Amino acid sequence: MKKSLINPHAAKKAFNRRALLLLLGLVLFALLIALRLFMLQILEHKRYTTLSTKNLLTLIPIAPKRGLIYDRDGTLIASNKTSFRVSIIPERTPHMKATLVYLQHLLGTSPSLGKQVLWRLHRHRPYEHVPYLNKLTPKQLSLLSVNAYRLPGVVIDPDLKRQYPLKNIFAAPIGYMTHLSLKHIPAAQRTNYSATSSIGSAGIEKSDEQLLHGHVGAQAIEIDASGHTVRSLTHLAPTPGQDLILTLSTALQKTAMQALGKETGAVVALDPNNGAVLAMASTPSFDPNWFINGFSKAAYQQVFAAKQSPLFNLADHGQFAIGSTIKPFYALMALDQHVISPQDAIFDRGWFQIPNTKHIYHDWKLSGHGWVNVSKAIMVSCDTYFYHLATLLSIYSMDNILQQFGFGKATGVGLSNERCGVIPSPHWKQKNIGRPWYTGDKILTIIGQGFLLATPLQLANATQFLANKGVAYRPHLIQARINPQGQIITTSPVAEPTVHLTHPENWHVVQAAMQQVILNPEGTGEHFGHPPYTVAAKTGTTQLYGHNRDEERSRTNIPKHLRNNHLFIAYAPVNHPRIVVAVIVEHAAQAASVARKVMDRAWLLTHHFQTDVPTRAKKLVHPVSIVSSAHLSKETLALTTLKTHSPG
Amino acid sequence: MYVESDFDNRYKRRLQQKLQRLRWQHWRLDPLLCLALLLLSGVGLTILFSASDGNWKMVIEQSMRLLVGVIIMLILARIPPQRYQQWSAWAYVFSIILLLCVLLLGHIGMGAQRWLGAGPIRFQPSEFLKITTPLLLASWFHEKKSPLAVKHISVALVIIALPAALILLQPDLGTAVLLILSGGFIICLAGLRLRNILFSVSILICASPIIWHFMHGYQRNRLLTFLHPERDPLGKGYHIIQSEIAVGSGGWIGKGFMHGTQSHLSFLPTHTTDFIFSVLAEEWGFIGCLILLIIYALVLFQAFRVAFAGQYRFERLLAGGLCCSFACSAMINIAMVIGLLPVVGVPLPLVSYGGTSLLAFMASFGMIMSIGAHRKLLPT
Repeated sequence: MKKSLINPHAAKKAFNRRALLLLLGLVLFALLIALRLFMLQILEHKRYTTLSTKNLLTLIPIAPKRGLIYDRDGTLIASNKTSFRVSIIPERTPHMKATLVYLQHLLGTSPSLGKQVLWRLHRHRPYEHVPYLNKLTPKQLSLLSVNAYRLPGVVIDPDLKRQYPLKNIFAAPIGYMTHLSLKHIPAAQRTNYSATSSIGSAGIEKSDEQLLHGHVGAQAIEIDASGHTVRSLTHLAPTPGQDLILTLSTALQKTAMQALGKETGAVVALDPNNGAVLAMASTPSFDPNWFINGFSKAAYQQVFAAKQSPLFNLADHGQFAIGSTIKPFYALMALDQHVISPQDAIFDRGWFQIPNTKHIYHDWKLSGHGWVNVSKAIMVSCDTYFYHLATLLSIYSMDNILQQFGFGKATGVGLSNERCGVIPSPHWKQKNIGRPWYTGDKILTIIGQGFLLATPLQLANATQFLANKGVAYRPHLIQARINPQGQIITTSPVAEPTVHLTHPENWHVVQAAMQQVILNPEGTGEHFGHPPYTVAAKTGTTQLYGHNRDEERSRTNIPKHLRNNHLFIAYAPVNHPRIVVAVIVEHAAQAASVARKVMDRAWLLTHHFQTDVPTRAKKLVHPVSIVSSAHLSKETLALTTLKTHSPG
Repeated sequence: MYVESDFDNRYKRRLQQKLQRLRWQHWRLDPLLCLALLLLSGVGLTILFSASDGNWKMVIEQSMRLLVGVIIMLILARIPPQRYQQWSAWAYVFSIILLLCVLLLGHIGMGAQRWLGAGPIRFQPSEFLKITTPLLLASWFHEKKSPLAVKHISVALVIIALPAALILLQPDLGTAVLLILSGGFIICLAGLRLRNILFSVSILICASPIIWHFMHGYQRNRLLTFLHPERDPLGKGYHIIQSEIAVGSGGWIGKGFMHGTQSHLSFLPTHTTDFIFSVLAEEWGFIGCLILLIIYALVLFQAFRVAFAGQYRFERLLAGGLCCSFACSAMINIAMVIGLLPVVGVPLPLVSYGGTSLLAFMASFGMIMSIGAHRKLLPT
């Protein structure tokens, strides 16, 4: 070491002074730390112990019971079936491996199941129920119950599953439930669904999910450092979902489904006095129980491999060209706007030509209908008459007429993703087709072909205006709901904007013509037959296959999927309408007979339309125990739920 | 007949004492310091066992590292301090090069580039700089007269700033702060005028907005959270709040070994490394914390005694600087865990799980012991 130039003694003294000063600083800081520790651990010990205990509160979510769905007569459409599941609570099972082996012998399960469960155990806290086997058979259940004393920590948990006793009858309006994945639930709802395993995916099960699901409950437990239960604390009962009473009638719905049979089509029946949907059928159909209990191979093929998916509810999702069923609406408004008068007649030679053009528009009847006024035009569904009318109306006034009757917008029936149909306009065509508007488009629109599309529900809704002479109610499926307190909350009908005519007698002109559709031998509704009640109706046929008239093919030669669609709208009885029906059958001519069957059934159900369509919903009022929110304060609940979102 | 005289007895006793000291001196060890370190390590391993949920693997791993640390300490204690003074510059340059290597090709660990790997061994070169920087500073100030001239201080500042800047680039705020603090302490020990201290403090205050500007987002958040932990109770403030709950719920004697709910149910963040003190506080209570503080005080007291007794300026400065570095690390960690300081990644020396910091502290104690044991007879 080099020789230092500094006086070693003085330097050492100076160093020691500074080091002592530094040491003093460190000691002061250490005292500060000790003081802070004293504050935290002694003075505020109580507060922090409380906070720490709150951390130890764990909530085990309890799934709410899903609301039941009844039809208007109180028939169960959707219920909850109890199935049993055997679970293992690790902290109460002293000999896990022996228990698993015993369970395997008792229940006849495969050895790999035991291994799987053993492997899964690590992912669960000791107090959690680890599922072993779902859907116990009655034999397994009794074997377990008898041997329960040998199986500490093995518990049987009831598990509620959705069940649809009427199978496919209500598939279209009710929809189905699918397995829930928390990823698809909005963050705000995740707590509510923490114990739920399935969620409504279509129909009412989806659109009224909020009402049906209810609110999750919780069992608060206190756990120790190793995660074992120290004691059970409060129990917050779940709020069950609300029961729904639908406007649908099982009898009518069954009739509609049977009438449609194997054909593809849809039926919507409404009560024009309040907009209640009495039947909503769509074929092909499916059994919503498949989604709960699993698909057989045939069922899977039927649902997922079909060209026309049964999951697609044609009644509110299917958009069709509605054909001649649109004619009464145009005729009515043209009469009222003095574009035509009831006496005006044209001579129909079976074809029509726009002046100064070459294209010829044929009537459906090659020979023509002769002299035709508006009443006859509706009765025989004369295309030529309406071609003429189209030249007298602008497309804008035609669209205005459609809008007044509720076309082009969702009816608001309450099902999710209801389709709106299409009201074609020059603007719409330019935007969606990219071509300018031709007069020919107008000619096609007036006979319900071309770009005009509507759903059967919209068609039924529009027919309400004819039945009620300008008044209609928003279609709805839910008549009432029963809240957890057991109170019935009924839905009051909502009136749509009324269609006002300057000459109300025009309603009767059109109604008389629509009655003739059935009564007159020349009328197009001859298939309907002669019912014991008065009916006003209109048929419709839409061409899917543009065949040349000159080489007319025999109808049976056309492949089935290119044959005409048939539509039928009707209401009865004429003076005080009780039911409105809209039917579409694809590629087959049964529309009129389907409508007849549904209306006949309604006639029988209501004692010849004398009484209201029966509602026995009142019998559903049963004492529902009012759920108390236990002793768990909201504050505690909030704190413990927040914990589940904590980072790290 | 020979009668044992009083003188003989005294002579014998002295001889025995000398022999005793010789045995320790052969290894150049300080028995009391060794005992204190052993105690500290034992306490550390015990807490680690509980903090890791009874994970023997982690405890054994840490014990192995401790063993390596002890071996390094034994080796360094036998090297005379003069050698350290000769090697100081080289050691500094070498560790700077290692640090540059980390920046260039370091592995990504915990969101920052801190590790350098060689086969199965990975280490943080920034921890080495906690030794080599004081070493170079001490040897730089060895012949400088106190109070120091401004140019000498400037050189010292550069010696500190270079590694500190590189460590901040990683980014590792905790280690950089420790480095700057221990460097600053050595400058203070070497002799600094009061007006210079005031001047630098005022500069620091003026520069704080600039420092803020250069801070990383997570560092800013930590600072903001420290100032208002309730600002975001489930986000950034969560760590501090949960740690305070753990400490506070300990009470006088704690919840008992292995019974700390906050740590075992994973409410505490990084409870085997930075937040291990909360585990101790929760399970052993105020008494346990005081005992740990006393053990730390024992280690420091013994180490400072060496610094006071140092024969050369270099020895005194080095021992003092290393002691300060150790003390700062312990105090900053504890203060951070109990909410006195913002959360910076500073380990609890010899207790936190992790290898390089443990080795660095054992090495520094080896050097302190070497200073304490290698004495020369000086002409008075």
